[in-house]
Amino acid sequence: MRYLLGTLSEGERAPLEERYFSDDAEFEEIEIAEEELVDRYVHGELSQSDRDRFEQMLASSPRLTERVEFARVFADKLRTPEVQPEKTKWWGLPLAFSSASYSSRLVFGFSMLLVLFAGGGLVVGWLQLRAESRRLTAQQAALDQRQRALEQQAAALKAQSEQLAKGGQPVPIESPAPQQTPTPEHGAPLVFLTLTPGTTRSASGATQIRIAPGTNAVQLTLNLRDTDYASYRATINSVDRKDIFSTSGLKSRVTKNGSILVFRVPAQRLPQGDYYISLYGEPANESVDDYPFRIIK
Amino acid sequence: MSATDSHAPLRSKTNWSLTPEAFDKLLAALAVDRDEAGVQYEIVRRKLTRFFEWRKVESADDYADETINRVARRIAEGENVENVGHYIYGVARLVFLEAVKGQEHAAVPLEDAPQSLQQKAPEPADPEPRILCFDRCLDSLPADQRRLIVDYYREERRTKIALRQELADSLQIPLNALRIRAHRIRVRLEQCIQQCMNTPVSVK
Repeated sequence: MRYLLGTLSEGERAPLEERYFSDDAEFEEIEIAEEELVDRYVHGELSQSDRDRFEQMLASSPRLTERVEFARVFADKLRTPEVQPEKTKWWGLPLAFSSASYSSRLVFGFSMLLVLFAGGGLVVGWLQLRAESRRLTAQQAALDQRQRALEQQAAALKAQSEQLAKGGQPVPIESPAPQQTPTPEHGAPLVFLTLTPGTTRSASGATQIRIAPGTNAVQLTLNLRDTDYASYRATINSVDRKDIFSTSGLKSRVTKNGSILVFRVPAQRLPQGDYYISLYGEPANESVDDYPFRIIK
Repeated sequence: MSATDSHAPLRSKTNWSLTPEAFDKLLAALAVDRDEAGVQYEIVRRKLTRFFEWRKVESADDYADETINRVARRIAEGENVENVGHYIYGVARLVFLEAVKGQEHAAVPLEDAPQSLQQKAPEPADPEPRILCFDRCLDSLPADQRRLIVDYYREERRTKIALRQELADSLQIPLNALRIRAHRIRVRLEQCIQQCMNTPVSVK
């Protein structure tokens, strides 16, 4: 979508174009992305800046204008009952039933009785499973919390021991609270970087973070604009589209500043350079947002 | 000034025009089989048109044709092209640069090509014929395709995502395959509507 909206730098754009000229499947992917962009525009799901960019595209492309008109009509039609999927109407069943023969009604009645018994059994089973699932979720949450606390303790102890070895005062480790700007922690085992979608996407204007030697990992916090997905997949790419890191099954967390995703990347995977994170909603595998950033070492 | 305003009116560099022989050689470079080459030609032309459109060039069709002409000419002149897709892209970039350089002031790097600031999206046309055509074209789809496209694009946001997963499960295909399938049906539907709207008499 960034390519279509014209927010990629030339360095990012050219390899993508080269690929779709050589690979029909890649080209079809971009055509699908264009379709999704059109739908998001029609449903009012684009940010103001993306909406403005898209309208610039519309101004120079009658074909795209046609696609938008189609999407509008389609969306309107889907809201009307006449284009709703064909399903058996439950309220028509009694009418159909009353005109059936005696034997048919007997068979139907017996079948309904069986369905009721089986359904009851299923409901009981489902309730038991749900209770068990809740108990396990609570256990898992408690374990996660304990693990996080232990990790923070370990990090703090390591920083203190390093400081003591140098003969200085121990340095308290900051908690990884979401931030609007990156906060590099020189010499700390963990650095934190908070990214917001829709910020400048060119490499020159990307959010920067300095990673000091000895840093073990970068904790990335992504501010979410779109929280409709069950989970998310994040991939980190260099500007030449080389895959650097990928993680999936990320669950959003709600904070007082909005919803966020948090994950860590080993610092050695991020040499100095420009990167962007592409975020996808799962299980639909839909592109959600991009987050550019720059690593300085 | 807008990007589209700033592109030079298309002017072929020479008086060379596509000859049947050159076109045959271009097709042969695209595929050995003649029918397959015809399909490939259509795909290449679509890629070129999109390339110029996505770079906000007006009259993208004309620039696509100019690119094809130049590639055909080079091939006709005996240039050995190993990767046709790659080669066509290279020529397309040059044509694009020429379009950008056509503006009054000096050449601008591709990434600095000015964005349209003044243009507004065209006013939407009368929706009535489109609605009629939509109904007609949707009805003309095979039942399974009609059901798929209606189910796929039904609902919004979270509900839509869950429905798509259900649909993929019921068809026993991965979600991405479903996405591609829905896209292809949608393209067919859009083409049908386009044809229908170009023949307004048949709408009635």
